[in-house]
Amino acid sequence: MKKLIILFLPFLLLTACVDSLDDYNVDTKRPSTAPPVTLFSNALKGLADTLTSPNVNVNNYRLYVQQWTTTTYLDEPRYNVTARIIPESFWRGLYKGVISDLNESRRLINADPLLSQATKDVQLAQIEIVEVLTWAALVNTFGNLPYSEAMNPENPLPKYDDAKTVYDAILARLDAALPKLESKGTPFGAGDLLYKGNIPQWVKFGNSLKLKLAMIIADSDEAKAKKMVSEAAPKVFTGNADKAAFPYISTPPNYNVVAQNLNSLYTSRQDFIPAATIVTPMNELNDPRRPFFFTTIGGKYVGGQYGFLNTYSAFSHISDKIIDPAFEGLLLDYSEVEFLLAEAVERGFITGSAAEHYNKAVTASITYWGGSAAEAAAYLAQPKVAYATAEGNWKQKIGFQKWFALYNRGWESWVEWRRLDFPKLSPPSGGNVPAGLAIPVRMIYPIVEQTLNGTNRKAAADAIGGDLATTKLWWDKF
Amino acid sequence: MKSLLLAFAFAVLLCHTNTFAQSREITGKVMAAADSSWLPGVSVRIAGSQSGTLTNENGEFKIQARQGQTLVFSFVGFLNQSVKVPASGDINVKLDQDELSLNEVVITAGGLTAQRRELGSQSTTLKSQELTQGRPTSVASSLAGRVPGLLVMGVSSGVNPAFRLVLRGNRSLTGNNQALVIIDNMISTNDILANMNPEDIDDIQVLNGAGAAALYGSDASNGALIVTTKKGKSGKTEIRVAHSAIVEKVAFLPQLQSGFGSGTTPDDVPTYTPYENQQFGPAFDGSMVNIGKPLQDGSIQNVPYSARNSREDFWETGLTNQTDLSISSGDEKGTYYLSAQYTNQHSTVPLEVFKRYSVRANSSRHIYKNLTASFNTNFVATRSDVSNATATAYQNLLMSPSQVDVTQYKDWKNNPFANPNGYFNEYFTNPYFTLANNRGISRYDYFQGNLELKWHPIRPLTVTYRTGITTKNYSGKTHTGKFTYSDYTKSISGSSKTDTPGSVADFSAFTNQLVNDFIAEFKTNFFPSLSFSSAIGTTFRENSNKNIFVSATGLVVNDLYNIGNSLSNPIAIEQNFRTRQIGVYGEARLGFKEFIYLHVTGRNDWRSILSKSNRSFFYPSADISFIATDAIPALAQSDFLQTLKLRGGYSKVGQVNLGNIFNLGAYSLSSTFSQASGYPYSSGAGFTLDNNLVAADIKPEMTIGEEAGFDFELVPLAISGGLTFYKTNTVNQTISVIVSSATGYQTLTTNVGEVVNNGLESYFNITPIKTSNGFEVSLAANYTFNRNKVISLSKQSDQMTLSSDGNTARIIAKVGSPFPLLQTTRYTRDPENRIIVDPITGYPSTNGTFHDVGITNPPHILGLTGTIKFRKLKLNLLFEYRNGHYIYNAISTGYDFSGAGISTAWYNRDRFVIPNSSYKNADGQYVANTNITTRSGGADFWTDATRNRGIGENYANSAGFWKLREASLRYDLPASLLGKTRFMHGITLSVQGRNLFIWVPKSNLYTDPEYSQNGVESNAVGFTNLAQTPPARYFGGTISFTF
Repeated sequence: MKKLIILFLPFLLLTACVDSLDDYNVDTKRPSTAPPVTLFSNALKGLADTLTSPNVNVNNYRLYVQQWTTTTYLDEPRYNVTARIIPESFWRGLYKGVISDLNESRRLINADPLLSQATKDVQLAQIEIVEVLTWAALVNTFGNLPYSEAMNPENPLPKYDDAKTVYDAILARLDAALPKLESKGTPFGAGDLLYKGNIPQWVKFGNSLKLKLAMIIADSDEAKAKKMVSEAAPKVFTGNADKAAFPYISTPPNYNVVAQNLNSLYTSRQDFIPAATIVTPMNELNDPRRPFFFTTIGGKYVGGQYGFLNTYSAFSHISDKIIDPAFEGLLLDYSEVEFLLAEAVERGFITGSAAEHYNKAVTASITYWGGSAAEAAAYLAQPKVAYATAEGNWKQKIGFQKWFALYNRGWESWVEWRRLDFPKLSPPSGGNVPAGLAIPVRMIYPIVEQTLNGTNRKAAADAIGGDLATTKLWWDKF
Repeated sequence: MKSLLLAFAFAVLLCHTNTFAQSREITGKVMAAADSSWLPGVSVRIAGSQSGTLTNENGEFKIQARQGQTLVFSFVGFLNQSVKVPASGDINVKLDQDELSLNEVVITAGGLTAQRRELGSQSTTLKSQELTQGRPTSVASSLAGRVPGLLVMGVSSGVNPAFRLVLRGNRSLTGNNQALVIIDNMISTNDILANMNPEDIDDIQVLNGAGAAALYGSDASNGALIVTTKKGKSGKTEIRVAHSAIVEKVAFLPQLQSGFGSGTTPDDVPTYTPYENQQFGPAFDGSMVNIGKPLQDGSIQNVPYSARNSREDFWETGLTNQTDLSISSGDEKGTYYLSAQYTNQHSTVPLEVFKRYSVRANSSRHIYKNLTASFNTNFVATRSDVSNATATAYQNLLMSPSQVDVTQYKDWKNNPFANPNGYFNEYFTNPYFTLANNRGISRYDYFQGNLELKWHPIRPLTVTYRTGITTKNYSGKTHTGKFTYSDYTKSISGSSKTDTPGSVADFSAFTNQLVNDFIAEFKTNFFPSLSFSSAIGTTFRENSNKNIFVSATGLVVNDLYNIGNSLSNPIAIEQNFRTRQIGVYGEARLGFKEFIYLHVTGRNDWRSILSKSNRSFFYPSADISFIATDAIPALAQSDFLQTLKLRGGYSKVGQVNLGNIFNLGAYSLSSTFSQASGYPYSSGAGFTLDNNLVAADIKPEMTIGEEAGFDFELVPLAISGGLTFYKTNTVNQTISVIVSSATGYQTLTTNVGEVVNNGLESYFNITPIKTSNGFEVSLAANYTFNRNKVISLSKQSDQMTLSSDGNTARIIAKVGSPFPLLQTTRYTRDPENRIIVDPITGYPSTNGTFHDVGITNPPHILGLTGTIKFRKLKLNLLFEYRNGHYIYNAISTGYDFSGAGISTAWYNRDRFVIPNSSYKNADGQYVANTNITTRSGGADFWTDATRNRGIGENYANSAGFWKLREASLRYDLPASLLGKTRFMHGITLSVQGRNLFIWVPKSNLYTDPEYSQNGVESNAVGFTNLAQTPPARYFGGTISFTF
């Protein structure tokens, strides 16, 4: 009998071991939780990279608003969005590259029993503001998209939500987050690459964002826009120093994505030059920002013909300032805010002088780029620039100057162009250009979604009136 | 009870003594006739009576018997022997091995044993002599062509090539398909098998199907190679010393053009460029031309403008020296086997050196009544010094026009024309310099050891405890030397000659496996006609792996390869993994009248890498074996049919397919974070969630296998053979499915998809000639057919890419197609399958879409062995044939961009009409093209991606081949010649060759289709590139002394 017990001892021991196997599947040498701030930092970089990138695979909006054009490859300036995986890169860059990390950061903060509620509140508010900005970028690019069922790997087939519903939801989230910024907790500090934990700056940033996002729906939901604009207006940016800018650095690979794609230090490609569409009117107005935007060729600023082959050496190039590896990536700036305030006055959302805000906006832009206040004043004194005498209605005046001010911020400029419908841009035509090109007013869904989440994508496409680059978003009334 | 029995027996004995002659105590010893080793456990029985005994551990027995009675000695695996009891004296018996293969005892899964008649599944036993007669450095190479169902692929070249071993096709899409390697009952690895001393192996038992290996549970799905190493024999001491010298020469060179020297364009009037790498220059005319640019002192090389052979002469004659020593001995109490081997190999690649040291000690001893302790230990150290830029060097060689004799440039340090500064080629460096300046040295130390205690407390019961360690410690260093071009060189050359900053990387790692096994075996006969054996066991295994890698670029001091010798921040990586596995298993085998056997096994595994709820899995198997010739009297009496066995089996086993061989799948379930690229950012850290998420409920891939077959032996001509049909369905394939990034991840690893394999395995042996004067000819053949098909993949996609070469070729899994499937781009063709050319330029084009070419795993494998023996002389030949599969050579830069490839000269560099082409006429009809020539027959055509190099079908060909795998001639010196040297028992001389010849279809211009650029582990076979140097043949001689 004793022998028998000895025989079965190993089996008994095994049963005990089986239960301890859990301990063996914990990686003790690699983080299975990361400090939340590190995820926040990385999300900021992901956001800045996607919105700043001039890479033809990701972000071609500088082309769509004809600030730039290409030398060799004509697919993108002629609005081909299927030759490359452009929609997918942008979609993935924001969903996976930003929202996923923000989400995880939020989860880790909520799960941390040692953080005070006040600290949780302020850090979650920082996360929330960046996330709202990111969702806005997605929804204003694609329209309906996965929102309520997104970010859940258990559900590989998230349904697409109505764009307006998503937009209202993120505006509500922004409203909820703003007061929490002032909860006196400890914000993200050094890992907050925008403001290094400076909460008053975050308050201004949050409200400026609110102003901007509310104005986008001014044509479609005027009451809501008016309410939010008037709430935000007193707390927005008051100078160039307030800007939300991502600080690229010159250590590889952290240099500005523009440098990565254009600077001869890092690439031999010579794909992009300024388009005549923007260079010509700037020349006419003697715009003091030109030396900061473009290089000269034979002492002059010469843009290439948009949508046609151009010889790189025959035209101005993108300025050294912009292709500098450490040039910052703007997410939101003061000039933009002043333009919005001018518009708010015109729309009757707030009181004040539209011209005053317009002048401040143009001046802020010129001084931001490196021009002097005197140059700005001289520029504004020109009848074609001065608010009172510039051509067209307020939409045209603001839209036109905003187009200059949003130079190098193609995606933002594209949103404003769709919203204000100025400047008037025409697709390339003539020559060997295929007939019937139209400037995209929406980005199509990633092609892979057709296979990965086909039914939901199809339902969304039907709901918005077709998954086309010509389908206008809900706020794009004109 | 016992005492009662004794008393009764005593009484019986007593009453017999009166009536018969006096019985006496007879003692004696039993040994094996073959090798004179003592045999323990032999049954000694008095014929016609119930009394009997067993020999003890020293082969000794004692029995009471009378003169004239007959003692019957019987032992499993040996023929019975009867001996009459003599009047006086001991009885010493030599038992002969039972040559009837059905009675052969073989090792089965878990270290258990069974007679071959009991096995219900296909297995093959390879004996030491077969494995070593070709004197392979790696035993894996000598498995090719010998085992039905086994595919052996030598995937790499150079020193210590690696072998991929796959039984019965590929079951898993992304996981391991290689056979499980068991060495002395311990789970081991493919690389230990490849690096162990082949002379140490006693036999290898190949268990083709999962059924036979089912006792290994979650490691069993790929079949198993069960290696048993040599043991000493009691009562016999043998010392063996042997030495082999093996020469290695390139056997198959790619076909290169030899008509045109260096130059590029214009195409129709090619001009000679002395420093050009491309070979689109004028035709050779024998005139004297300069090569390269002048050196700083004005000197320049002047050579005849005609083809040289240097691209063949670049490959050196390699030499392997291998020295063996082994000692085996034993007495009544124990045995031991000691061996040592030293191998030193220089391959065909200049500067490549490989050394291997192996030491083994195996021993066994009876330490207590009924208790045996044994151990096996093996230490193998390999040292290699190879280039880590062999592919680049090979490409640089192909970039050397034929008029240049590259072999002149070995001494790049002293020869100014060989130095990178003065090297003739403006765009590609001297291949000798590439090899010398980019080195990788590595050291691998393998240790495998186990100890085993075997206890027989009561007769039917055996209890075994086994514990062992398998460990690999390895480290290495790679470096690229710093090279700064002279100002003069820079001034006369463009950006093509840029300084090399130099770099160094250093790594060290270990893998460690601990195993504890406990097995209780119970064997008895319930009734004389009903045998029963069973075993239950537990196994416990822990694996831990770690590596550290550091690297730095930009060396400060030249030729000093230390991480500290750099101005940049070193990159450092550390990885750690640990897993555990626990298994409980049992088997039972029921035999009726020794002609029908039913065998069932079951195993439950718990794996730490799976989630708690999915961790536990049960793997059953059952098989049946029926010996028709023993069951049916009519067959038993046939003097034509000696044996006929029918068999069949079913099994369900799994494989956890997570991670890879190094990370073991540990921690895959928890989504971890990685330091995002570019961090630390300023000073802050940045982390990002992994792109892939492993579904928490991930389960093992399950392989359900069925097989049926028969084995037969005929009396005439010693014919034997067998046939097995099998089918496996592998479900729950673990693959990474691309998901919408709206989920927060890019891929989700989940269980979807199914692969089915079916095929047949057959073998046939015959000895057509056997004469009394010792002349014997025997032939053996085995043929394997495998067909597999992907039944399903994920919902989202019906295909999945495993490997791709740019946009030109890819290896994929596709629903409804065999796996792995090669697809390439091809020329745009008209409905009649003619290549459409442009009516003006005559150029073809491609629309870039992929087309199926075919499977990359051979459906047909045939192995043929011929043996001719004449007394002490033995000649052995082994051929292997494979066909039905395809390969893609990712070498278009080396062959066609360079202009070195023979296809670039097929049309003599003239404009030509694309064969079987058509063009669209004005009516939109495709008409045969007979007169529109290509606008260029030179560089503009052959180097262009859209016309030639980007068309994958140009580089895909049949991977079929015939190979003379092995030839050996062996002569054992007759004893008479050894003369009076009493201490020496034998001298054997042999000559042998491996991979002597390869025959490939005409379409294969490039290389050995056995190669795979993706290495041993990857299922994506079917791509080669220039990292695989031209295949070599090996031949040499061996002398061996036995004392």
